[in-house]
Amino acid sequence: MNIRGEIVFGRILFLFVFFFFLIDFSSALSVTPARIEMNFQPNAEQTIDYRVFSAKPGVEYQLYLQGDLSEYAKLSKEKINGDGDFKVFLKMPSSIEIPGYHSLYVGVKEIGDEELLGGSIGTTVEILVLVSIYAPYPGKYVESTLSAKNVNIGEPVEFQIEIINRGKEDVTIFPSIEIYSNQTSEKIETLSLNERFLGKEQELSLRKVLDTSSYNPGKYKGVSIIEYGGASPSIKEVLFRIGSLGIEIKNYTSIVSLEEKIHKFDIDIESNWNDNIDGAYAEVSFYNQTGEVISFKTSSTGLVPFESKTITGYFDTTNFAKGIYNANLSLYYYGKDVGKSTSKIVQVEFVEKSYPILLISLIAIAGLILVAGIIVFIVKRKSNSQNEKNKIKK
Amino acid sequence: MVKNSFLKREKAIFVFSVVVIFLAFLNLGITVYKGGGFERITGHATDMGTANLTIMSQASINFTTENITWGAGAVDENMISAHLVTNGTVTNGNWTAVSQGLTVRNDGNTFIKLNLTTSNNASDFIGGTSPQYNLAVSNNESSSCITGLASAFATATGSMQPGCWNMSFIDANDLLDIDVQLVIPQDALPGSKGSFITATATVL
Repeated sequence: MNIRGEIVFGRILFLFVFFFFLIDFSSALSVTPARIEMNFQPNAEQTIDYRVFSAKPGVEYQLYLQGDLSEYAKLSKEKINGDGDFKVFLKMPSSIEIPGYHSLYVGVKEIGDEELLGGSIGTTVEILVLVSIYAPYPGKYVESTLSAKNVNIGEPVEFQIEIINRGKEDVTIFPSIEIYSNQTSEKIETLSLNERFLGKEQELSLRKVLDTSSYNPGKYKGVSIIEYGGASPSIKEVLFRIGSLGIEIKNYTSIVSLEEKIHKFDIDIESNWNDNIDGAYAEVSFYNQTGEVISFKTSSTGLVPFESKTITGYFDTTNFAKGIYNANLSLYYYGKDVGKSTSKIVQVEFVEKSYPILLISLIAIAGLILVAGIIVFIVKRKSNSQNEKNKIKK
Repeated sequence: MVKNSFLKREKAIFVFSVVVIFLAFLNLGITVYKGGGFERITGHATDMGTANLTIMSQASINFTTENITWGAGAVDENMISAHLVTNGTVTNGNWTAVSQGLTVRNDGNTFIKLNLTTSNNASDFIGGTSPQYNLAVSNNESSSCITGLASAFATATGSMQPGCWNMSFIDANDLLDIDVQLVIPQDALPGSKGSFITATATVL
């Protein structure tokens, strides 16, 4: 190698060393599997394989066990260096008295080296992954969940029921779903499902469709009742909506201060439709006895199913005097390329100056205290002067 | 002579062609037989394939910003203490301002509970009269902490303290900031001061 080549090599080596020292190993840690669920079985033995990765090379990680079942588990090793694998040997006890979920946590903790810390705040990471063991309830015990999605008018509602036998005995289930109006709490109908056998620890998914052709748009409640011969049935509720293309005006700016020349006007709107609504905006027209005073448009917005939003417009208050004006709020929007509008006549009060209620209250309280103080002072002074007069008389 | 030679060569080519054609048909027959008939090689796909895929649950955390260094500094003369925060605040001292706290990401595919533990408390870390070492957690990406965000500065005692009860793993909502606040008294012993903050992720 000639001199020129050596210089180039030296420069490359320098750059390499320079960048090498700039490399900062990020503080990260991954453990898999993160969560394992199993049913309790007396004296059963399980071996669980764990993998640690994204760890810092050359750094030690301490492994440990926690949780109410930790005394029934052992680790294949106490420490791990960088990435690697380890095992957890679990031997379940002969019985678990308390039914429900029991936990075994497997911890992986980075051991920080304070000598390398220097004058800074550094970080270490620790992960606890979970082994969740379910101990069945004595006798008969069933748990369930109920779900349903919102629909539009005329579309069927599909109920999904998940049932799991958490007891020590087999059961026969008798599921049903009751439909209620959410507004009036009145029962509308009952959907019956077939009677079924469910062995211990077994799970079952059931589906039932509600024909909503005779239902009005609105809010409804589905209640699933799973009778299984236990102390009480498993009952779950779900709310669902039947939508129609429409937007409701929920609230609006009802007081306008004439102090502001350009005033903000907010309209709170809520979609009643189970699909997206595009380009929703309002045209606001104020009227007095002689006719229209001003008309303006608000901002435009899109709404996802049943979403609530605020649309805002600004208008000039120059031509307004103190008093109450009628306003026509007309909403325009599109749902699935169908244009629609909603209108509402409202009253808006124009005031010369608006004071915050809190400020007015504080001033009133301060005034009352001042008046009370003055009265007390006058009464006391009168009483003193009367006493002095009496003394002089004596 | 020439004609005979020509005929012989033509015969040889003919025999060779017959053998090649025979081998070609034999090969085609074997291919069709092995493939299960003509239906299978004409693009007539009637069978249904099943792909099995299992995604393992994984717990993973990553400090994307993993250290805070204010460098060397001192409390200003005639001041009782200096105040340092990782939002760029340095008052009554000449340390280098740090405007970025620690940032931790839930890189796995499970919800986690995030706790924080410091390797020392304010007295051991800073020393002097009434030192303070406080931590606060905030969302770097919106709704990263679903419930239980420890957003107010809380004293770091060296014991485990809550950071977020339920941290999301959704890509756009899985990042939390950890801010550090220090009060360094005038009489703190000089020297290089260090502390570890351990982020503990417990699978929910």
